[in-house]
Amino acid sequence: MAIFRPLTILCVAALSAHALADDSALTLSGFGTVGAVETNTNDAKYVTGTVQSSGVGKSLDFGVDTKLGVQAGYKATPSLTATLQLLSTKNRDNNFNPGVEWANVKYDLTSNFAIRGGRIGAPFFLVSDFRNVGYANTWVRPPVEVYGQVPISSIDGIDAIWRVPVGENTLTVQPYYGTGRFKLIGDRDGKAKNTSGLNMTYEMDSWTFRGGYTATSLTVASPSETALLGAINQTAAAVAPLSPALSGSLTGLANNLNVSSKHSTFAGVGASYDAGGLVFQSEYTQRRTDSLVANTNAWYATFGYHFGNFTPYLSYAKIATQDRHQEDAIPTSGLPAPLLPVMGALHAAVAGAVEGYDQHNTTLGVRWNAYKNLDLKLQYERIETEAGKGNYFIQATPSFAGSSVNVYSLAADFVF
Amino acid sequence: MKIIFAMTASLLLTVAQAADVAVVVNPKAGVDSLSPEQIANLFLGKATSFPNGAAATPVDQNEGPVRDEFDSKVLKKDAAGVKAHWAKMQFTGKGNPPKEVGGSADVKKQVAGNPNAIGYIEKSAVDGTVKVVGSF
Repeated sequence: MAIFRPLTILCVAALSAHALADDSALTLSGFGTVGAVETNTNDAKYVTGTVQSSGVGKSLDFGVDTKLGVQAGYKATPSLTATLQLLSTKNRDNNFNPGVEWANVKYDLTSNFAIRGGRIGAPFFLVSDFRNVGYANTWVRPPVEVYGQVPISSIDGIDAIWRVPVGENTLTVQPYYGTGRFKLIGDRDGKAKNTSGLNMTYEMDSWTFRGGYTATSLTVASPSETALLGAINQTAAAVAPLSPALSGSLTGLANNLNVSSKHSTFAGVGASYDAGGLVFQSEYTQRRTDSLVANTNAWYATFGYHFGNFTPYLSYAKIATQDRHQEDAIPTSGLPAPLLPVMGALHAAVAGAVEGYDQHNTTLGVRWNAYKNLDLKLQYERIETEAGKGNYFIQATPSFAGSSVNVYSLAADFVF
Repeated sequence: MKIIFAMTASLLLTVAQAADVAVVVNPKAGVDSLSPEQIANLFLGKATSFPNGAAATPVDQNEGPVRDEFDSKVLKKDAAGVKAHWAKMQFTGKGNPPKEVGGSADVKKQVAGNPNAIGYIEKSAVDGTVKVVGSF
């Protein structure tokens, strides 16, 4: 339970600050979730993305969804606002030490045009900025199949928010530029430099439409990856006297796989609707990078209906890897006999290292607005994986291949 | 069938009994009327100025029947829907919910004293200190 201590401290600090915030220039708000999750298997662990390194199996776990966010805003002048958001959620290092999600200054040049600088939310998805605010979402958490594709939630940089009234509708144009940093499961630390993109939303009555495109220069440093690339290059050098062609193709493969300043893009379109009791939300996204990191297409669609304070919902999500198999550049037949075991091992190592994600997820759940700023959600997910392909589960045993998993979640979300 | 009829009848009765809501601005605001969409945009933080370009400051009522009526008729959301909307707006840095100032009398006082304010009150509370720009 010691790992929950930072969460408790943040909670107490937030509540006392909330009580002290009488000055109207200072606003304090927060959000949080207490969530419990279990699955029906111990052959692999369920996680909510590529950041958490300990997941959940058959025994009930409170770490996967539980989180607390605190946001402070200070209006220095009518047009100058500073915002700080701290988020405590279970991280790669298995603790709840709070991270700085946002720390930026916003300047309103007009009532419809603002610029921001500092650490800003990275607007890669329809619900990027409130993906962690359970209360603002229908489901327990955004579908991992789509939201798991990008581990960056904020960038250090600048953006502009330009609101264009179109009749009674509003178009919002948001260009941005900056650097994103992230830590992934295992030993991988990443950086997305020169991240530039455009996020556009169009609000029409109860509809919101969104389209966005991002390009970045991606680097992921990982000792295990460096070792693999070293092994490929060593093999290339060793086989050079026997077969210069094979050596060349191995060197080329090592360069292709290396995630070092590789041009990467992420694009997405989405729509949401909430009126007359009906809730609908859907997104389609594409991730592209010329490296070890797999190219993926992913989408989801969610439907719900408000029956008073109860909103039952149904959701389907799918992610599919688009790469040709990079390990196929390593021949495993038609070679001199002594090379066969080496190439076989290398083929397997590359296949294992290239992360692919292929799974689909059918979700059924119900949200209950239990109190004015508190909801309770019960959610059932059936996640189907594919044998021989990657997925978002971790610590999988060989018998897990091609398995389907039931995930049961119970969550209480609040805002204050 | 009888039960459904009784429920429908009591529902209609409830609607008929609910107080009518008047959306009001300061007489000096220079605003004659607003569409339900324009009012909803102001109260949901999607717009920050009146059609004539002047800044608009919405003021909210405390929770109660008048607010419920306004939320469902004009904002087309229930109380939880409005709360969830503001949770999104707040945590995307797009704005904070309008200030809650009290009941119809308090809202009227605020609007009468501020040319930029817009509020909603029970129709029966309307007097010469405010100007009605929409009735629901």
